This record gives sequence, C-alpha cells and structure tokens, in this order.
Amino acid sequence: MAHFGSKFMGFFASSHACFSQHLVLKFPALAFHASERVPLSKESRLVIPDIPSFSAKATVEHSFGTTVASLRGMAYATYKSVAVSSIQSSLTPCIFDDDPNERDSLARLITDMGYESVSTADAEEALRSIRMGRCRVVFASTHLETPDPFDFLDRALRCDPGVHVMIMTAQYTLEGALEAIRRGAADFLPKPLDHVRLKRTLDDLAALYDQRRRVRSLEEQLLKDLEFHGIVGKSPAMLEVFDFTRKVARHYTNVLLVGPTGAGKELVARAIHQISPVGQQRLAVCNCSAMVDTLLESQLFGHVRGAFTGATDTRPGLFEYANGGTVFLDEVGETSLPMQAKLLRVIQNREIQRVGSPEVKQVNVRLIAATNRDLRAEVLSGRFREDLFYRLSSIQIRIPSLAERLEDIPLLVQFFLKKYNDSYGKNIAGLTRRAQTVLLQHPWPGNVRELENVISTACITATGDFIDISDFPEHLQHRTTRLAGDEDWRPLSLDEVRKVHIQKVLQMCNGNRLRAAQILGIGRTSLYRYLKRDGFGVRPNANGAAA
Amino acid sequence: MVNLETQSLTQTGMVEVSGWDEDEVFFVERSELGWDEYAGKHVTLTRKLTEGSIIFVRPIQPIALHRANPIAYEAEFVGCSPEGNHQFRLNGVQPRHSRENYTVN
Repeated sequence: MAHFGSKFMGFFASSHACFSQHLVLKFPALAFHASERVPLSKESRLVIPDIPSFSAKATVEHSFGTTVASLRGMAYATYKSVAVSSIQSSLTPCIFDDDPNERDSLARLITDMGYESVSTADAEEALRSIRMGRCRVVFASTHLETPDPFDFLDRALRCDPGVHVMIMTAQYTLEGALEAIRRGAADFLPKPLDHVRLKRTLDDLAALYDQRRRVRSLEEQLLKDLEFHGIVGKSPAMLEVFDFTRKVARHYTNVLLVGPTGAGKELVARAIHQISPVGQQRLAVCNCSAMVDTLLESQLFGHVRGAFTGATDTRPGLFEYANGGTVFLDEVGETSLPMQAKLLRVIQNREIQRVGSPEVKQVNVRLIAATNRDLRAEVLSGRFREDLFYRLSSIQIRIPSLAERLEDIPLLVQFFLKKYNDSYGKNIAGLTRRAQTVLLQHPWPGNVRELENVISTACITATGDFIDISDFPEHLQHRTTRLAGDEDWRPLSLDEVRKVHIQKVLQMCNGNRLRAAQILGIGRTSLYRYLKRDGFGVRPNANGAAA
Repeated sequence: MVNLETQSLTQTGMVEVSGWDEDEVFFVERSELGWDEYAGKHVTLTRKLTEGSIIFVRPIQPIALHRANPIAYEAEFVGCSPEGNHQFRLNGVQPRHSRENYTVN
C-alpha cells in the first residue's frame, strides 16, 4: 500500500485520522507489519486524545518487550466507533477465501470497520461481482504452493483493471509479495491480518475514491472554463486560435480557416459567427465537396422553376437565406474553376444570380471558407484562382491537428465522455491508465473527429465504470501489442515529450527557430514561449537562428 | 433524442460518414442516406468495411442552428453498386448497459 499510505494521509480530516497519526507518532511500529515487535522504552505512555467514542482520556502503561498487539487491539477498538462515511459504503470489499472460518471472521471485522462486504468461496462468483462493478476491492486468499497462485488475480484484473486486489496468504515471502505486486495486486497481506493495517488500507482506498470524485468534479468545472463556443482546448495552439477568433470575429468580412479534416473548422466557423455583430442572424453551412457543380450552384444561389430537370419550383439559395448573416463554405478547395468564378463575383460585388434567372440580387453576407488543402500550392498548380485565394485569405486562421495538441486529449476525452454518457444514459467515470496511454500514442489521422468516434464507440461498448483498451475499436487494441515491443518508448509526460521533440527539430534546423516553428506547425512566439518555459530562453538573431 | 436525430436524417439525405475501413484506416466520406420502410437505412461508400463494424453518420444540414451529432450504426454489407461502390444497411446500435454481457479480451 505504499502508493496509498502517506500520499493520501492529507485527506484524513476526521478525528480517527488524527488519532491514528497520534498513535503512529508515538509508536511508529503500529504502521508496520503485525509480526514485527517494537523496541519501546521501559515506561512508554500512550495518551489517547478525546474523540467522540472516548469520553475520557485513557492511559496505557506497558513494559519493555511488550508486543504492540494489545495496543493495536485498543487502537482498533477506537477505530470501530468512527462514523461511517458514504464513501465507505460504496467500497464494498469482496472476500474470497475457501476457509469458512477465516472468511466469516474477516467479513465481521470489515463490517465492524464500517464497510459493507460480500464474501464467497467461489472464484467465479467473486469474478462475477467484480465484472458487475459491485466491488472495488477484493481480499483474495491464496496458497503459494499451488501451480499458479495468482491465477485469480490475473482473471480479476482482466475483468476490471481498476479493481484493487489484496492477496492474503499464510505463507508470506518477499518473492511472493513482489510477484503479486508486479502482476498488479494492490497489496500482499500475511495471515493473520493486521487489523490496524487492514483498516488503514480500506480507509486509504476510500480516501482515494473520494479524491477521484473530487478531482472529477474539479475537472468538470475546468472543462466549463476551457470551453470556447463548443470547442475544447487548453494547448497554446488552441488558445491562440480562440484569441485570434475573438479578435477577428468583430471585424471580418471574409475569413479562411485552414486545417486538416476533423480538426474542428466548422466549430470555429460557428464560433466566429456567434461572436460577430451578425451573430443573431442566420448561418448557412455548405459542404462544397459533397455536391456536383450544378447542384452546388443551385444550393448556393438558388434556382427558378424550370431552370433544369426536376426544378419544379423556384427556390432561394443559401446566400439569400443567410442574407445579413454568414455563409460557411466548407472544403472550398474542392470547387471547380467555374464555380470559383461565381464565388468571386459574390465576394467582389456582393451579388448573386439564381440558376435560370437573369435577375441579379444584392446580398450582404459575411463569408467564412475552410479548406484542408494548401491553397497556395493549388494556386501555383492552376487548380485554384489566385484572385479568389487572396480575397478569401485576407484573414487566415490555422486550426492545429490533434497530433499538434496532444495535451488537449484528456480534456477532449472528458468532454466527449460527458456528451456520450448523457446520450447513452451511462455513468462512465473515465479511462484506465493503459487506455489513456493508447490514446496519447495514437497518431490521430482523423483528428478530433476520430477521437470523438473512439470515445463514442467505447461508451457504447463499455459496461464498467472505466473505459479500458478492450472497449476501443480493434485497431487501437492491436496498437498496444505493437507499443509493448517498442523498446525506445518511455512513459514521459507530455511536457517532456514536447521539450525533447522541440530540441530535436531545432537541432535539425541548425538552431533556426523560424524554420523550426514552421516544421513544428506553431507560431514563432509559441516556440519562444516553450523554449523559455523549458529553460532555453536564448535571444534569437535577425534571421531567426539562435545566437 | 436518438429518434429526433433519426428523423432529421431522413429529411436531409446528405450525410457525412466516418469510421474505420477494413484496413483499419480512418475515413470520412460524404454520401446520401437512403431510407425505406422495408430495407431500412442504407448508404453507399467507396470503401469496404469489416462486417459489423461501427460507422458514424452525421447529417449535413445547411441551415441547422447547431452542428448535428454523429450517430453510431452497425454496417451490414448488402452488395456492390454497378459503379463498384459498396452498399451497407445501417442497423441501430444499442449501448450495452449490463455488465453481465461484458466480454473479456
């Protein structure tokens, strides 16, 4: 329980925690193993402070060589009286032991400690309880002489990787303990169980779950604060996008959004429209790649009755519909040259002509165009009109790919979890650590759209409190096998990954920060900020190279 | 909520389909959603999918106030069109709730 012990002591605000600290302070060995003896002074005194269950102070005197067993018994008696919290009631320890006497005795003990437990001698029944999410902690008795003493542990963790399995054994060995921990056990306890240690273990777990609950609540609050018109992000790249969007939204006429497919261009377009002075007016969205030219022309400009086969009535187009508001042209780079000429006319003269009609109509619309193509390259290759490109790109916002803002993944995951928990009527709390690792190492060619689909799929499949790798689409499950064989991989934090990567790119560019920023897909200012943060704050010279 | 989304799908026709193809490559395609009383919902895609894979269908609604959410469907291969495209029937996906159905990998 080293990972719980001291780490979560801060959460013990109740009187029993103060008392336990008091005991441990006077008699450190109380925190250790049952079989250990404590070298106490000849006339040690244990003063038990006032707590609700103790009406008067008690003083215990003992002589040199006394085992701590009697003190432990006293301490346990005090623990018994501590009020049961709601967290305790949701922990539901499962006792899996084939010895009925020990099983019943442990069940009684745990109940006295304020926890509601279930007990069984049947491994399958215990596993079923884990699978159904009934238990968060399991006390499993094992015999080390059996062929695979940790078979139950493996199966339990496969059922629910988040379950805490405490292995209990009468044949405690250090090797056995290390093996159990290595295979994922939360602790390895020798029989007979040390009651104080058992109580502390359960309280630590209860505190851990309480901490997680509070962290989730804070994360939800943070999510609200970091949401920008339905877009979630806290990475420098996205904060720049939000900032620039706010600035241009009030003044733009035409904006070009550039970024890979699935990065959130439509959401940014909607945000620009909402913030703009015409935010109360209509927004029309047209996906230019979804239609052939004739249909696209009809949708954008409208048509009159009889203009083409099937035109049974006169209909206005999206420009007329959104007159006074905004038109968003998604995938504008996919339009043909004749269609580009018609769009140029709208931008230059603010006039449209319905298909089949000689009448020219004036429209007053703001235009947001988006593309995942390099329009400059398209201009050079003659596939995109240069004059239209310059008209559209007077204000350009680049939306980063998800791979460029990996630090946003946890936030996005939380956002989508909330969304699909609501949609599917689920109550999934989060992802297991290994599932989070898989997401952070995926290249995300489909960007945020792909991440949303992964979380949606996992929410459909998952039946536990946490999403695990097995809930992901097949290819992400296979990926873990590949990652396991990747010898260079180390569990670095995102900050470390960023730091190492920036240094590598800078080395490749011989210290030219301007070039490095271009390759990294971030602004030069962002690069300087990262370098300063990482302790590489060297002033650049005139050509952008590091001095 | 699901019913409302489904209703809007049948009204618009044009959809954006995304998911993972049989080579496990993520794709996004625009397609037309067909619906009839007997065959149910169906889409035509240029790529092959693994039988029973989940795909996400998002209605493309030019004048909608909010961006539509992608809806998950299970794709069932029906056949190939004369142009060589692949036709799929879309079966609704029910989120699993019972932990009894949990399969261990």
